[in-house]
Amino acid sequence: MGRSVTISTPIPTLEEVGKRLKMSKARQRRLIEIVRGDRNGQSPERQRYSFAEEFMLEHSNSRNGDSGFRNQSNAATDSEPRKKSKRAATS
Amino acid sequence: MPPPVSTDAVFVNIPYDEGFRRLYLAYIVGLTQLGLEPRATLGIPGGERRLDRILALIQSCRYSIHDLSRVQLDRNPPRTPRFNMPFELGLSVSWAKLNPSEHTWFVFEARARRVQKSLSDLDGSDPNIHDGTVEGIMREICNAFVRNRAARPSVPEMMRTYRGISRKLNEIKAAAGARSVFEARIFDDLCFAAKAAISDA
Repeated sequence: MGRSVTISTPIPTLEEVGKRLKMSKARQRRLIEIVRGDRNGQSPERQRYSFAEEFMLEHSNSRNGDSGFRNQSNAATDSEPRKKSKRAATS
Repeated sequence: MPPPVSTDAVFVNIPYDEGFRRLYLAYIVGLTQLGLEPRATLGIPGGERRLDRILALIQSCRYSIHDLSRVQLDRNPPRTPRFNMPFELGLSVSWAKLNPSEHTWFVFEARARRVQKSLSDLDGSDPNIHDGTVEGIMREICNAFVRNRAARPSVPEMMRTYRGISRKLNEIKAAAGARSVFEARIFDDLCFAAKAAISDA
């Protein structure tokens, strides 16, 4: 039996994780779409976003002049410039 | 001056190769589901400052996991074992000795009693044995990091998240334009995707 520690810090929200990773909203949306399988007409049974996430994404889009994240062409566009691919480190 | 410690951050010290891909994904999903923040040396370039940056990464993490299960020689000539994992464990142990309230390290292994042979200096420190399986990684992460009952995910829940992300792995990789899952950008994408999958459950 290995050692163990007790964790009492709050579990971060999806928004907090995206912010910590410094991800663009477009990239977050793209990943959410991939994970939740809601592209190409594959609508999930449940609502895709929580109210808080929806508000956050809509608010962000309206500030950027984006007509809304439900627009597939916008949703599929990652406006963040691609970082130069770093070589895989070998640990 | 060491960097500030992130109380949820876990330095994940594992081999980066295709043979370890499933367990790599298991660490990311499992830690994310526990509300922790996996961090890795992916993206740290080579050169003389690499060691400084690895040390800074360890210092910024409240916890570290050192998977010492890769003890085999690699296939590429000249065939050598990988010493990076035990080396980074040594850095973490030193840092934790000097700052016991700021760092806690864990050793993970696939086989029981092998560490006593491969790294006998660790005698007296029981490793977490994951049996080389995804489920074993989830189980041992839960054993190492204990949350109160209300916030504690079960291993089957973590396995469901793992399978969901595993199915989407190629799509996530393609969306990033990455060739390998062992790239810094993909590491971040997988952390976020795992969180998105958990939030959707």
